[in-house]
Amino acid sequence: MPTSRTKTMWKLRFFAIWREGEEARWLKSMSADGWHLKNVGFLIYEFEKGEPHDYEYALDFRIEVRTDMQEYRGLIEDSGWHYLTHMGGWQYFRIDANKTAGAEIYSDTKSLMGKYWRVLGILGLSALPLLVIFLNYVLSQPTVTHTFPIYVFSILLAIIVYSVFRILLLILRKHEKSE
Amino acid sequence: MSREALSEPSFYILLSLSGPLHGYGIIKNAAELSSGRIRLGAGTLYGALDKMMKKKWISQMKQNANNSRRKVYEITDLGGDILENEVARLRQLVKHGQQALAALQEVRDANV
Repeated sequence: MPTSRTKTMWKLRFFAIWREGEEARWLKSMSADGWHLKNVGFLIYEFEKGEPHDYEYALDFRIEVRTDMQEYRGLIEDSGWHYLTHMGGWQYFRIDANKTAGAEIYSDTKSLMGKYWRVLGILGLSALPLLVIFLNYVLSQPTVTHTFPIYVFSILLAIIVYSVFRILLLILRKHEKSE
Repeated sequence: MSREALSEPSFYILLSLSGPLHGYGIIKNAAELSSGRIRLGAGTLYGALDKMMKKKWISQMKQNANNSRRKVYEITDLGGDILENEVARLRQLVKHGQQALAALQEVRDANV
C-alpha cells in the first residue's frame, strides 16, 4: 500500500495591516506554486503541498467575544468561500478563482471599512493597559533607575500609534474613492 | 423611532424577513427580487443582521433540532413598524416625483 505523507512547510512573514490585499496576494501566489495555506500563527504560516491551484484568499477581522462565529463563518461559506483558519481576530477564507463573481465578502465601502474600525478598536484596547502599566511604573518610583522598560514601552506605543495612523489613512482614502 | 431613510440593503433585508429565513436565504431573496442588482456580501449581511438584532428590528428564531446549522431570522413588531414607515416614506417620494413629472409634462405640452 503506497503511503503518502503530506509535505508541509513553514514560512515566517510579516504583513502590515494597512497594505490592503498584500497578504491575500501572497497566499494566492503560494497556492499557484502548490503550497496551500493550512494554519496561521503569529507571523508564521503553515502550508501543505498539493497540486497548484488558482485560489483567491480573503482576510476578515472578527473577534470571538463579539461574534457568533458559527453563524458568521457559515454565512460566508454559504456564499462560496471555504473557511481555513484564524489567527487572533483574523479570519482566513479561500475560494476558487473562477467562482469569485458575486461572492465579495463586503458589498459596500462602509461595511468593508467596519473591518478596519474593528482592528482600530483592538489596537486602542491594547494600548490602554500598556499605558496604565507604564504610568504606574514611572509614578511609583521617585527616580527612574531602569531605562530599559521605558525603551520597550516607547517602541511598543510607537508601533501602535503608527499602525493606527496608517489604518486611519487607509479608511479615509477608501471613503474618498467611494464618493 | 428612526425617521432616517433605510439603506437599500437594509430595506431588502427587512422585507426578506417578513417570513422566517436564514442568512443565505436573505442574500438569494434580495438578488432575485432585484433581478441581481442587489448583491449582499456575506460579511456585510452578517454585520447588518447583528446591528438589526441589537436594535430589535429582527430576532433569531428558536433553533429546531433538524435544522441547527444555520440561524433563522424573523422580523419583530418594531421591525415591522420600521418597514411600514419606510414604505410610507417611499410612497410619498414616488407621489412627489410623479407630481413633478406631471407638471413638467404640462409645461412641455404647452410649449409644443
